[in-house]
Amino acid sequence: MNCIRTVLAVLLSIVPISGLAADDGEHVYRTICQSCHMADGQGAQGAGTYPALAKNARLASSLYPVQVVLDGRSGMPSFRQMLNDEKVAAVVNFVRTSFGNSYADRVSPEDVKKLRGADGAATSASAGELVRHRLPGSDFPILMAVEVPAGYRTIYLSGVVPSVADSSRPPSSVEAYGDTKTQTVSVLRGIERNLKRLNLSMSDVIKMQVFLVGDPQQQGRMDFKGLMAGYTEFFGTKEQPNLPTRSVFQVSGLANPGWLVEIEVVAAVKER
Amino acid sequence: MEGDGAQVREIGREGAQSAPMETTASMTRRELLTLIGQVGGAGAMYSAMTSLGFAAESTYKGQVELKGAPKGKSILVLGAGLAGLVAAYELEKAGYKVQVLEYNAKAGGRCWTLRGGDTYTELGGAEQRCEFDKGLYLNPGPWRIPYHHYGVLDYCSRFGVTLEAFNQVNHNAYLHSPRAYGGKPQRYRHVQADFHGHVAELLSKAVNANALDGSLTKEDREKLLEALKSWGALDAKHRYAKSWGSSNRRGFEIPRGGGLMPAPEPSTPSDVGELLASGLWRSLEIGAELDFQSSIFQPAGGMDMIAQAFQKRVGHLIRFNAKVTEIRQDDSGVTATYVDSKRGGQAMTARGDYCVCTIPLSILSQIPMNVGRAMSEGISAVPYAEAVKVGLQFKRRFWEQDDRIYGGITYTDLAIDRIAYPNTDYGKPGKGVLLGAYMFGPAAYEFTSLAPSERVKRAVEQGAQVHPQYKQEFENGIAVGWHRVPWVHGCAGWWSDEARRKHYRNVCEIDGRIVLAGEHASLLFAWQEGAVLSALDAITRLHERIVKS
Repeated sequence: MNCIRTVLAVLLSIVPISGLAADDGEHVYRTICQSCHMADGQGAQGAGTYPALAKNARLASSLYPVQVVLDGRSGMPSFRQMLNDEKVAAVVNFVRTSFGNSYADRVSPEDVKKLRGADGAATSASAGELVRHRLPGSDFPILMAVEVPAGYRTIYLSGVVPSVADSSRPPSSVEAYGDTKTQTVSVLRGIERNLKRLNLSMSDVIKMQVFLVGDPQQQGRMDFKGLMAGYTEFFGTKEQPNLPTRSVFQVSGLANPGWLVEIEVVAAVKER
Repeated sequence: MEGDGAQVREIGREGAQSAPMETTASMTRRELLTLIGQVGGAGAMYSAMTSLGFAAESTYKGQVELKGAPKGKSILVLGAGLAGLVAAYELEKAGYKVQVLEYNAKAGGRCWTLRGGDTYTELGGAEQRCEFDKGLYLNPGPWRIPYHHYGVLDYCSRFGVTLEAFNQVNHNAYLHSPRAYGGKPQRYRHVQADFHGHVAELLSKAVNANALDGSLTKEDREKLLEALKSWGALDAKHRYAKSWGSSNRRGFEIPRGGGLMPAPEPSTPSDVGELLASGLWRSLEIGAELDFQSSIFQPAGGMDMIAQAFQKRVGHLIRFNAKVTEIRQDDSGVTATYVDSKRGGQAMTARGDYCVCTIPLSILSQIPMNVGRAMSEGISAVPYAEAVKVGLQFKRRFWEQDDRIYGGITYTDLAIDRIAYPNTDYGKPGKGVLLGAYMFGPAAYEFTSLAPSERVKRAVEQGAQVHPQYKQEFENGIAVGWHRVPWVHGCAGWWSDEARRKHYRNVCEIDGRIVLAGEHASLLFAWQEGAVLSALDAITRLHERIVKS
């Protein structure tokens, strides 16, 4: 296999094929893309589907089709070795202005070059990976920002509240649910369970909002340390190094007077 | 299909480009192997490779005997290609209750043969009717079975599928490039004899000029000279020249006859420079590749004889025209939702305690299925390769009658890539069907993009450069671009090295109650043997798990 892949790459780059000489976007489309997406850009339906490019909302982002052409997507092969930057730009511009699409912005060969990677070498086998930007000059375990490229599903989860930790205590008391750290761990476990139900995991969390009630033990201020102690058991660990973006708020109260912590998260996962 | 010639040809190309050109003082192991291969033939090379740890035995362990299936356990098999058929056959034999869902109206998947009267509708809606005469056929997918594909061969033998020899190497077929020898096709035997002869002569010169003294002892050198003389058909002075000996390889100008027929006259070898520039040597060693070595077979009457043999045995288990739209597993089993692919209508469900899913990844990656992230990411990591085949019917078997080519393959640098002649019914009067194109790479995308009739037209135009008889004798043709085949959306799962490292194991491991099988879950890219071995491995592991639980 290894040699087959390498040599096919060699073949694609060295053998001159009459049809691919032109840099014209329509020409590239008619001699390659059309084999699956069809002459009218309507795609096709068999045991599976070739998506229609005609009026495809995903083409609104000009970089998304570039990434897909370069790296392929599921069953679709990568064309980064068969097509140079000019041809990728040309065919994307053709598709975005044909079949009823009329996007005004154009992709340039330079745009393609950037997405291809600095050295033009094959990088990832799949379209656009999620980018997690760390905090500059800090090891505090949250992200400065996260970028979710096209091709990802975004999942919004409701806020999760703690479970009872000590049932011998009055059910609406802080004692029943424990301190901020105990409640944080309980809440994050609940989130982990919910994610699992969706075939997701903590590593897919990209955004978190934390609502803390002032801790009576801390003169009514939030127990930020307690939150961090629980949080770092789930994020930035050796097993689960991924970090989310995060905001923390102090609120005057939650639905149950015993609750000090409610957390909601957003997850993103590559589409199948 | 079948990890094939186009790619193997390129291995030759790449090898040629990266081979060290300068004379080095010491011989690398690869050079030594190359030398052994050239002098001793592929057999010697293979045994040398085995002793050096390069080549491995087949992983086929013989027929599986699954014993002790728990009473009443059911298994749902998705897909009735070769992997699904093997799974269904063996699992039913083991005592499981088996049900199979298949998208197509018949069994076999890519194990497929087109005959006169068949209609084929590709993605996009173009319909072709095969107009071949009775007995003539095209295998649009796999068409050969190497001697070391024990799994496929074993089922052929058990099911009584008749095999006949597939001519991979035909010394009288052509090698052709529009840029070499004025575009005139050259006989394989000419190119091979001349290439070996010239190389042997040059290497002999190097030995005699003491250029290899650093690597070889005096005794080695004498042996090597002797070997080169025999391998290259050199004369007494170690020259490759017009002689009885060289003509015994490349053929005579005036061949040997009987009685008072003209005296035989040796032929003149081609010029070494022109030969090297032609590039035709690139196709010489295809038949030396393990996957294409002799003996290599084809089922008599078409590849789908294998599918038919399976269908006879497990056809009663198969629900045809079933397009799977969702696969869900829960604590007690697996449910597949499907619709009738012909009639549409209400969604239906099929359920089994376990599931062997052989749906190609190009399609499975679009079907919602609750397996773990590891498998699910693997399913989405494998693009499907392009390939095109064109079958052409001619009024007469002119390749036999005029060119004396009986079976085998002509290779060309034209987009059609090759012309393969029927390996059966030699010398029979009447019509014949050729494989008029079989291509990968950009040309395959371009041909697939064309309307079927245009693919056929271009195959005829290009083939006429090799066989001018095409123009007179062509009758009809049929063309299959694999990206347009509705039940696969491509020719085969094309794993990148990176994807293979990251995902292959996860694709093959059992996930809950689901296990995947098929060519895509094997290391035999585009070979039927991959489907068979993968299925046998998957059901063996699944059965072990079921028996244990």
